Amino acid sequence: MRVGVKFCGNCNPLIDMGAVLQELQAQGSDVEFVPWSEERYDVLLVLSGCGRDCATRPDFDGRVIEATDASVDQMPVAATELPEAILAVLRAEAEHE
Amino acid sequence: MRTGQQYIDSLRKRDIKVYLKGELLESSTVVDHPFIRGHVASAAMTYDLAHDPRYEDLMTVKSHIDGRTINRFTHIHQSTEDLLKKVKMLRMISQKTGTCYQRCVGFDALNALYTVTFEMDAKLGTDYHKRLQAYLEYVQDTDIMVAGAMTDPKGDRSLRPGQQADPDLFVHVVKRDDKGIVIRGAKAHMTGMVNSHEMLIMPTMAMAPEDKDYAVSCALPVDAPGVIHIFGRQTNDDRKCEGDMDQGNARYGIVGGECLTVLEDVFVPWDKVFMCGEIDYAGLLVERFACYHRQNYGGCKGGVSDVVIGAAAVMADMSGYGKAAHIKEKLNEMIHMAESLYACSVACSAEGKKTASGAYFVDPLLANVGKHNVTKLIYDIDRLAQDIGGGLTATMPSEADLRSPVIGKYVEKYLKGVVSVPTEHRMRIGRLIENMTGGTALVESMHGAGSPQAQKVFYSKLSNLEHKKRLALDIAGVPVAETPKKPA
Repeated sequence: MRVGVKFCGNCNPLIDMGAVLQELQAQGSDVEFVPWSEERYDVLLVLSGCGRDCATRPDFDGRVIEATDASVDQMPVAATELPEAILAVLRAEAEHE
Repeated sequence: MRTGQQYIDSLRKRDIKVYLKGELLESSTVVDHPFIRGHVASAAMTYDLAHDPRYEDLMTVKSHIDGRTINRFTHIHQSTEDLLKKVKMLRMISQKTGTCYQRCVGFDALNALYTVTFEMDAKLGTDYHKRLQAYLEYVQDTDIMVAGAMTDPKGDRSLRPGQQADPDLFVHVVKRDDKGIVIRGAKAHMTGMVNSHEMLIMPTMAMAPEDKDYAVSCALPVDAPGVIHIFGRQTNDDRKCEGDMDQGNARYGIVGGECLTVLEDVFVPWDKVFMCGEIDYAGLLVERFACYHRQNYGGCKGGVSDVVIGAAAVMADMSGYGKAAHIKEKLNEMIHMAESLYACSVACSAEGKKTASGAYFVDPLLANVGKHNVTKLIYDIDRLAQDIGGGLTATMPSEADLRSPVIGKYVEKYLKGVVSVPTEHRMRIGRLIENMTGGTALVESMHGAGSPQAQKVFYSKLSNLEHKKRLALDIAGVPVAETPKKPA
């Protein structure tokens, strides 16, 4: 599975989403993370530094997964469990496909 | 949608038990009592304005359930635009009433429960959201006024609910069966309760495992068997039994007409129960409600402050010092503070976001900062209004003295300001300043939607101080890894 990644811009972040992406890359060897500006990917992952989740969404027809410092797809998740929670959603999506 | 008159007529049909100064009021005429009628008229404004094309863009909205036009006070926010329009609506209504119109509490309770029941069901497999949706449809259908009921009396604040000497100091479930639950306890500072149709009970704080019976949320009529309301006193309230001038704002009153609501073994059927023992979600519900409610204050207090600023400016004109440089300076300072309050409410709405339920939620950091500003800046705005208003606002004779055939001529003569302004008009503005800037009105700005410390705890938690430290260390050229750890 190829996952396009877009950051929010991190104006005043409550979490280091760069570090979260590194953790995702370390734990998710079955997933390929690429910049959102690349031409083709299966899922778009939006990583926001706080709950405002204000990143501009690029044109993308597929599934968009939204993660903030305290949630994945709007459901509450502890910051320490964020990489695992994101990977769980990504893997569920891969199985669904 | 109901009109104001239909709303008032419907209140007369309740079998509500309201005690006031030790006496039980006749239920059909509760709305006419001099202590209560202003608050009723203020709430009625939320109904009448929905029928006025000048205000419909703020006051009405399409229901997300079936697309029909509803009063915004029964709506679930579907966008940040909805959150912004809520704030603008509150400021607009406050400019017309000069006081609280009470209906935002139930509005916020509905939205908070809408988001939390969805998340609770997703995690626990319960069916609270479906029940809440059915209740919401009923509220939108009937356009009833719902009082939000969160604050418990709390007894000894150092003890948890179950540790209190009296277990009833927090509302709790005392019985469950296949039909529903029975609750006991009380809710304090209940805004608009005696002129509502129903109340939405919520827990007052996060709960521990031993507090399971206290994690309860449900809806019930304000006149359900076992419910008793004890109406609160206000500064200068006996003036309401005299003429209208000395009240300052005789038509709409001051703040929201609060009461203590006692729940003496009240039965609630299961279809109106939205939380019963789910302790992990009690704190989340409190947070969601608190943030929605704190969002309001820059809107409603912004509008109330518009009236106070206007009153101070008019008093200066009526007294002949309206053109003085220091008066203009003070009025500008008041405007600056009022608009700063409004800005926080706009900001927390603009930065709102979608929850899993689809409803939009405000930015909690900015909502709490905004309400904390209200606990300070309203005092500063009102202080300047009293400064401009002069000592007369605290010492002037009564309306009865002005009307007296014997001494009225002296009041008329010696309270005169600018010669073209009738003395009575100057006295009315003085009384408005007196009643809007002191006593009960000020305390409401301090403690309404939670006391200042509650906001401070919230924004301290959300501010990420460690991040700010790292920013400073980086700019100062200090390696982050070498920094001392926070003391344990």
